[in-house]
Amino acid sequence: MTNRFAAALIVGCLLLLAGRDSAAQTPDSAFLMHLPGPAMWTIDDTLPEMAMLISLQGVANKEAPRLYFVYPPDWPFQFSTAVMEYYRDTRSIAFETLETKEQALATLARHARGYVVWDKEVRTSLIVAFTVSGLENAIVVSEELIPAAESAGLTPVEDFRGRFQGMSDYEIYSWAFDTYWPRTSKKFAVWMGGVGGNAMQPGVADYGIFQQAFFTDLSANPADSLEFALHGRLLDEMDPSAIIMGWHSYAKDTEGQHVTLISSKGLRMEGLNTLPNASFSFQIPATPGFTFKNNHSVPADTILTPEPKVYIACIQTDGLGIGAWLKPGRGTIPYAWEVTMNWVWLFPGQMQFFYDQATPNDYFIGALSGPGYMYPKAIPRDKHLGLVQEAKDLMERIDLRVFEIMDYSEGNRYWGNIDLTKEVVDTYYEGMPDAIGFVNGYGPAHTNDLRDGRPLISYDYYLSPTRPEPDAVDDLKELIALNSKRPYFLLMHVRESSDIARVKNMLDKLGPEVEVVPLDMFLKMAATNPTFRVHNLSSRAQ
Amino acid sequence: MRRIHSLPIAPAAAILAICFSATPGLAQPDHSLTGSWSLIAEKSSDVDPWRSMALTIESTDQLVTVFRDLIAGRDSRKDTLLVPTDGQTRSTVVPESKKWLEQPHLGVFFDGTTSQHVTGAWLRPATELMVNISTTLQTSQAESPVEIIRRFILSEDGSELTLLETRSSRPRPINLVFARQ
Repeated sequence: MTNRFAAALIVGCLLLLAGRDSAAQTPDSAFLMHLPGPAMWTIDDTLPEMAMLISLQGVANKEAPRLYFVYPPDWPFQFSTAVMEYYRDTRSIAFETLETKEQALATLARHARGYVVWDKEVRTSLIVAFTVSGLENAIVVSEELIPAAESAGLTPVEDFRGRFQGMSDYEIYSWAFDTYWPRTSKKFAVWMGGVGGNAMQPGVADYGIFQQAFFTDLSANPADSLEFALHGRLLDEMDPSAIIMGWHSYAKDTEGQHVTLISSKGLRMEGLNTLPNASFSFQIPATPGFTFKNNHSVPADTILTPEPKVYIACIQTDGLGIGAWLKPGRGTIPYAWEVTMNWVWLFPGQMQFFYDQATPNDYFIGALSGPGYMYPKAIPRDKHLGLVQEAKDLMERIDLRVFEIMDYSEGNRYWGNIDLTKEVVDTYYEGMPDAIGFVNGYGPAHTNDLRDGRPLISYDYYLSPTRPEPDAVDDLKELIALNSKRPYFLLMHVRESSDIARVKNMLDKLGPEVEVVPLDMFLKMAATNPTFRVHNLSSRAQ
Repeated sequence: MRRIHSLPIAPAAAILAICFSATPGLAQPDHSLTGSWSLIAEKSSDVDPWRSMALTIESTDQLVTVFRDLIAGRDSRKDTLLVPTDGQTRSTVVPESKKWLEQPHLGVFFDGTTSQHVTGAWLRPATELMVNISTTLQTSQAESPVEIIRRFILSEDGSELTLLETRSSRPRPINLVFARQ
């Protein structure tokens, strides 16, 4: 055995043990396709072809980043064009455009071993077909696409036509579990949820195929007792640090139920089902020597004294990429952006895209509740501190000092409570000793705290994307009237689809008493003169 | 606690109510506020996050009951407002729902101990009702008292109901228009 072979073997074994982490080198060239809109792909329209192309992407990208898609303008993640241009301009990747599915198959089908046929009469068969795609290096085709696959030299590896007719999702997934689960990744699973009915937006499928993940959309609604039980069993058999990619099914359960169940197993999730080009971006590293540097407006140990006025800090949630980053107005006012922290190791080049583009007014904060999207009240107590410390490590890698917490395990922005217990708050303070502060909520919440000059402040306002501007201005004026002490620290959650120009226009109407400030400055001033009341839930719910 | 400002409408309403109730010759309209009503979003102020709002109004000699059904996405909320019209004030403890249903996107809550004081008066018999609500909201800073005035006004033909809400904390009134169901 040569030294070179031995080294390669060791590296290979380590990759197998660790799962596939981003470690590839940037390619010189790649292929590019523009996927058609509108983004609501339906079974009787564009979904079959889109599913086939995305599976081709997952298969073709397994050994190198070869195929990238520009998604339609109404796709939830809106950065696919900008990121492609960024890779082109900063990594010198020469993109060659493929115009048709035939051209794509002729160019890239050689990386596939065959095709798997899904049944258009049973939508769930497509989700199972994605699992087969990853395990067998096969593209997914519906019946009418078989000729195209065979023209490209592919042969069938599985055929689900008629296989699942009359079966419930529970029965289908039980069969898939028995058949494929032993071979699928235990580090990644994909919930191919989102829209239901005859539509699907399987943007993240390429990554699940790339990672040989099990695909499903099992319900987390306890009322769906069979699916719920299988869902829980599947999560129980994942690795302790596993990531659940994708999203819950809008047709089956709620976001709160889905993330609560995942959190209750100590696992973490990364959304969404529409996440684009993940198998490509996984293999684009940050540039050599690049350091992720945040735009702190004040030193971490500074002490600031506020004036008797109203201070507003704006945070855009829901992660990078599905919000206002590329919309008008960014950089014109201080804005904090919730960062999906795992991207630093999952998609480092893509993460660098955001750090490179950030203006001095763009401030990144860690999210969400843990090293991924989790609900702290649902996390087993013996796992919470470790998860918070993992999140702390991620924050350090990308220069973050503020951490955001959210919990829908007992309510959402319409009902119940999204407040935190004292024990939960204690864990964040203990596990993140270097954080200068914490923010909490999604809709407004009532949990506030201050320890060692480090405040925890909940959102006082949720700016709905559909709220007319004059009404939102009245909302803010009403809050300012109801909170009469000065300074008043008003933390505002800007839902991701509001652009900053709209937010700035609104804030400009609040008068001279109001000042919009960077989040770190906001927290530092709140620490000096905390006019908010300390409050948390008296006991843990679990 | 700072009282934001008091509204002079309540005394006026009482005087009007006395005047009208003391007018024996005033003809009783053949329609009234009672019945079921559904919000006409196009004619109303924005009610986000509520995607639908329905009222059911019942009336007896001395009490008007307003049942409200609110729907947002998969979630729905209900509440009931009891309005005495005999000049008395009705005080009740607001059930702890945490969120303030008038505007759930504001960091304003009830804590389960808050009392709500309600008075009402007919400005026009059966067709125009004024309701004065006095309560205390929990905010991130403190308790904050608020005065709310609601005027329920029936259209001339009885097919639409206008609900005009003025809050001592809010700069402009909220105007909701409902269609009879």
